[in-house]
Amino acid sequence: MSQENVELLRQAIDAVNRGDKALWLTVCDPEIENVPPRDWPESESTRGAEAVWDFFVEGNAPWEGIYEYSEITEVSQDDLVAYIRGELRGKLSGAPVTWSFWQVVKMRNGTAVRIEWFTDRSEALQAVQGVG
Amino acid sequence: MSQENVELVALTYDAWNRGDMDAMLATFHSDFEFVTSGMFPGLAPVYAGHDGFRKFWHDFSETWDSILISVHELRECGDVVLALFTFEAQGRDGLKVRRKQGSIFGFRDGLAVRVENHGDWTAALKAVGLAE
Repeated sequence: MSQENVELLRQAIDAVNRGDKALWLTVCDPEIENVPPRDWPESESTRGAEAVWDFFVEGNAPWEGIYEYSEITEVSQDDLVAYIRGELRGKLSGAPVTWSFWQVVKMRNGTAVRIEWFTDRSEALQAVQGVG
Repeated sequence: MSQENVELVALTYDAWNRGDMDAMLATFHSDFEFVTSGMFPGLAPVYAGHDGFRKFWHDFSETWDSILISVHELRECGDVVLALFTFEAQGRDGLKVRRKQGSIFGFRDGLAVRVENHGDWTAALKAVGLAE
């Protein structure tokens, strides 16, 4: 089951990269929760697969490029810790920016039900398993 | 214009990570001011002009073998751009430093005219009114 979860996560980021909302909706629970970094200006979660998709699309609008997971660790049967990087360019000037975060992703019944974002690997691991 | 400012900041950080002084200075106005965070000893509070920034870079680089800025957020906040990033460096003595920092960029004539650095995200967010 856990390898299937890794594959599902890869499909989710593939959906974002290709703008494939239909694929996104198949790999996310309809009630998925997206939780921003804890010290982010906006601390409110976004709920629902459609709303989370819109959140990503809006955030990506000024940039083009691809996101990829360079590391996915199965912490338990349903919990993944993943390092996501984006190699992006501004649409106006082509200015490059490398963007990166850690995610804790909870899976259930073959879909992602919660994504929590962190700027630091140790914070992500602490959140999912209580160790640094 | 504001998205252009965001992309200008992306160019600055890309140049920073490559250690490309000419590319950094190309994003700075001749009246540029670089206000340090106070988190690193031995630096002046303010470095003025292109020559001032060259002096900052010289002073700052003397301490570190490697310096990398990982950008997490570039956000328009009125006339300024807020950058939230992680500063990662390895000292010549082997010491590794990893710190979340924020910078606020002001602009004139399509170039950065002021960078105000803050030693943590909360201080940077407060400075642009996104935190209390």
